Amino acid sequence: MSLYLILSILGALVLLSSLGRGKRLVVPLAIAGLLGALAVTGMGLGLDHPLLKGMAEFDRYAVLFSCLLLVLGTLVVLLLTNPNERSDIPRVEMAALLLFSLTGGIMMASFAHLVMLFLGVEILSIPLYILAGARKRERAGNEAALKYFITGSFATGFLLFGIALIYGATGSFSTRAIAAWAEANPAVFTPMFHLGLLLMLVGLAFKISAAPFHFWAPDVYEGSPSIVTSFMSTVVKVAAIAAFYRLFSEAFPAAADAWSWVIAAVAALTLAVGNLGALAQRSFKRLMAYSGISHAGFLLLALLSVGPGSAGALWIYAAAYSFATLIAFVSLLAVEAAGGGESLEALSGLGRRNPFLGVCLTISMLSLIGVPPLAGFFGKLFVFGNAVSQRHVVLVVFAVVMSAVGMAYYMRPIIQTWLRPPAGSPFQLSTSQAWVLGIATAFVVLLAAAPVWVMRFL
Amino acid sequence: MKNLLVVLIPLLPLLGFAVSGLFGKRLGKSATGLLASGMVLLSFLCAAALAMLHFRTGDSAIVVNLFSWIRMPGLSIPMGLLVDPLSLMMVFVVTGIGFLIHVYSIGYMHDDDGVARFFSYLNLFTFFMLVLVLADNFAVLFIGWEGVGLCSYLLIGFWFKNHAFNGAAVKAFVVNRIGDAGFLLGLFLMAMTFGSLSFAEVFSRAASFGSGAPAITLITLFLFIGASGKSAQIPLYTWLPDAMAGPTPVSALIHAATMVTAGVYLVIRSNALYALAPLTMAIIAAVGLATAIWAGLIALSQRDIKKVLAYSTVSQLGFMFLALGMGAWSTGFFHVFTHAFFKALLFLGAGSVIHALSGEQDIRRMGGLRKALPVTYATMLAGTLAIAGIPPFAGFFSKDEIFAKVFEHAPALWAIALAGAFVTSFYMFRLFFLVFHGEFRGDATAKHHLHESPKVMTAPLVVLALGALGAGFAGLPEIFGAPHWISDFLAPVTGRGESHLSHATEWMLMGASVATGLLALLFAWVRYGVKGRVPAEDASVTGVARWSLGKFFIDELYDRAIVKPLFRFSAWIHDVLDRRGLDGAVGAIAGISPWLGQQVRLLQTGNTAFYLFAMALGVFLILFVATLR
Amino acid sequence: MGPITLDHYVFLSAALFCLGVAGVLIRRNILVMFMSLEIMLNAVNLLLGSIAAFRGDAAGQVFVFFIMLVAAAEIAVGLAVMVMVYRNTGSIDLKDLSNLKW
Repeated sequence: MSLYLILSILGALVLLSSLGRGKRLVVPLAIAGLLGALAVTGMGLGLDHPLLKGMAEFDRYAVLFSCLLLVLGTLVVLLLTNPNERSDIPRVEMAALLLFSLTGGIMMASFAHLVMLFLGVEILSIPLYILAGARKRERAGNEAALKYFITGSFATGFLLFGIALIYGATGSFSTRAIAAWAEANPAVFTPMFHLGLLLMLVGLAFKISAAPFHFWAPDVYEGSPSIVTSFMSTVVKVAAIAAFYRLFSEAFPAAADAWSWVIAAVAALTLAVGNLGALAQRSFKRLMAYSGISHAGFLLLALLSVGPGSAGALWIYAAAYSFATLIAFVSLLAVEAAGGGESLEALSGLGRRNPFLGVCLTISMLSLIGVPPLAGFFGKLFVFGNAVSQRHVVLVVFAVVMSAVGMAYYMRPIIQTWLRPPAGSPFQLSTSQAWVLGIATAFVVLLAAAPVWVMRFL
Repeated sequence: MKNLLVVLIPLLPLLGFAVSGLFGKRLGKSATGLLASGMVLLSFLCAAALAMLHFRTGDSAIVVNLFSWIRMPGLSIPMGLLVDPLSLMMVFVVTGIGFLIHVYSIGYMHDDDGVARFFSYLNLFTFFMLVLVLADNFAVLFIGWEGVGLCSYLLIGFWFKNHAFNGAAVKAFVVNRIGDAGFLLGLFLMAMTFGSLSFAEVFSRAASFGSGAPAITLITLFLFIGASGKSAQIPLYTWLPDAMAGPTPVSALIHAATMVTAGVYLVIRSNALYALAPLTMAIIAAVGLATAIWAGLIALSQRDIKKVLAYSTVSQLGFMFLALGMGAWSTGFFHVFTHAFFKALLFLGAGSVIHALSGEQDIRRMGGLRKALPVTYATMLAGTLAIAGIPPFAGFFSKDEIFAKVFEHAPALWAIALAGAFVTSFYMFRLFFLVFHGEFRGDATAKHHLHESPKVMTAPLVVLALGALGAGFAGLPEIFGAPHWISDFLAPVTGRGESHLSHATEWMLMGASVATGLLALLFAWVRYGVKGRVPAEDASVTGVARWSLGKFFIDELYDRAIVKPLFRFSAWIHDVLDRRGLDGAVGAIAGISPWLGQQVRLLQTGNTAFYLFAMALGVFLILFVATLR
Repeated sequence: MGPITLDHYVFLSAALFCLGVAGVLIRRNILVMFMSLEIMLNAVNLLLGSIAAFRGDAAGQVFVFFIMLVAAAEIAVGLAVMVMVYRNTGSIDLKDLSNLKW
């Protein structure tokens, strides 16, 4: 409760500060507030008390995912201070909108009632529709915003219709009550319940950009300002998968027969589309968009094996993916600021132009491939391991083959960075970029020591 | 003290990598080379000291647990190193031969701009290879396994600065990853079955499963898929010839002496598992023998000096797997050991030739290099004699032992393997005579430029040639009455293989393989040494005229009946099956994936209406299938 | 003709929802697409309201208020985006916005 309040008041304060002469204070204020929120979340650990009369619950799962979201959000906001960034983006409004969107993400990680899920999804999405078009005069930004809005609202329609049908079938919006109903009536899953379940699945599959509901992602990622894209591909994806897992593991575990085959099919299709699509990309930004799609497929594998350890596996995978992706986007931002474009060629000789950036980018790509002992390896290890133990062997084999394909395109930035002649003169990172890179890389490397702790915690 | 030495063995090359990677530019070319070589030499000395301190007394193993890496209920994996006779021998091979190749590279890479980067990758490779070898559980081994693959890739790409990342490279990569995927699945299954990945625990728990248990068969098969990816066995061998694009010292170190034998090492290391899986053993033997023959036949018609050696490596690895399929673990390792010497020697010799010819690799443009490159000539001769199995060179002893084991189990396979040995000897001497004998076939500028390589390159050649001559004495056959030093030393790991062959049979086998090697030498000598044929002629032979000569009637008969079909078959294998068939089948995912990727990309039309339609179609399909269920 | 049951309302709102989906799929004018999206949301509102009424449970009706609120915010953003697009391109036809692709 206090977390929602802190973040929304913080967002409002940031907006207000733009009225006076406080513009300089915006980002420090936001960062301080976010760190405060992180501390509050940390202190709330293990209290497990229901909020808002049981509509939300900060259990360990919610706390751990909220911490991840807050750290990622802080890093993205930190990137806003970069003086090299093009000046045609409204920084104050963006900071406020990012904070609002983050609030929605945290609601999605902690809901215990479908109203909260719906509100979380919308509070997360509406600011993003604006952020995608933050560069008002650019047609690419316009197009991205409009595409995102139309496809997003379309998907929300399915989600809502699904919620309404579930309500009709079970008489409640509370995840506990729904689970209890499903357990009590295992034989009589009415068509209404069944249909509602599948429509909700579709609505959330859109948010994590799973195929065939992924088409918006590459276009929107490409058209949005890179800072916003970094937010979409980390915070938004983590919040969506957190909500997805929370919903299906808490409300519908008894109905697994009704949905696990859909998840399996969607995961397989997503893996194929994401990995193969990435193979054909020339733009680094679009490549990362397809990379995001492919990782949505891997994350869905964790949903297939709900059980002890699966939440931990999901968290590790999500954290490994999002920190590595954040590094990739910081590299993109830095290269853009240094006069390069979004193509892969812009990364040429990055290792010589800025060795620190080159090393961080390489670590990030290696982690996304799943090279031990980086965080990405553990994510894949646990997710695949859990899925195998639930007898999804064929799907895991397919996923392993697809991650082999993934290796081919993740090597391309590494090759550009180290084996090609520099595309320009050496350049400096801004202080905030260097900090974000350092922190994110530290997470990618050090998370390798954490799996034990996370698994035990969840 | 001993623990420190164990840790230092992999750590020193890592240190070398860090220093030459970070300060390579400032140190300068020669200092980086010396530093990198020095680190590997120090590693070697550490291993030697360890051997002196520990293994003289006949103790079996040292285990060093650095820290607990993964610990969760039901599975705990320490970051542990294990030194036992097997890993110690491998360490000697990796650091010893690795050191010589490092030294050689100082000369070979002298004119290249990226020397510092090259040596740092080379040291990094050595580090990962040592991790692979010294691992005390499968998870740590897998780190090394992936690491060497990555370094191999970096080093192959070393000279591809200005080329696009092309489809072939993607293919080579994916093929390798198929093997790794098999390995990984094997690890998952193993962790599920035994609840552990540590060698000691897995092997002791496996014993209770009994021979032929399905779980063990499956695990061993998956591990073998991994092994055949790394060690280039049918059908995953096609990447190795492609890998020849890298600098020659890299081919010698990674694609001949060390990394490609990692698969063999893995199987020997897991011999306790494989011994319980007769089906897998039969498959290994079949795949090994098929690869040995197949790759040998392809090598017959190759014209690129490094390609011949690459296919030869594939073929020799096949012989190693054949030995393993017979359960002759120490024999397989013996061949790894001798092969490391003579194949590294052959590659470095080839490098010296290429160096002298300023990068020319086509053997049709060589010939008569005997006089210009005396040291290279003499050492290459030693290497060729060794691989052809002429006594007393190293290859004779290890190959003869393999053949004896095969004969003991299956005389029919022995006959096929003997044919393989004939092919081996023939294509090697073909290469040798074409390169060093006859007249020089290049142009005048190249002829003028011919020179022997500098001492820093020839010295390693000489040392390796001595190894190719002497390494075989580490494993004398039992009939000579001397102890079989290698198999005695490895006995704690591999057990002791008993030979049931009578002495007379052994003499007969030995005679047969020597005779085969010499016969092939003779044919090659007549064909390429005396008659000075050049491969280009093969296509344009007017056979009738030659028939009438009469003098070479036997030779021509042989030529018509055996050599020609063989050549044609070889070319056919290479062109049709290798290029299109097998390669296509293996690379099905690999080859088709860029195309599929393009389709996925084009599906992204930019038209929002289509996106909405796709979403609605997805919903419809899900609901439709749901009602059908 | 029997009494009107919950099922009738469910089918009515499902039909309305499909109408909205069809509108989004068929029309290319952004404004009309927005209207179709609103029809989808109102189908949901109808469904929630009728379920709540038949079950005698207020929760569904409260949810309707939330949806109306959020839909208002959402459509405000959507219209703003549309105006922005119109200023730059002079068109509100979806077909004119397909530069981001492949």
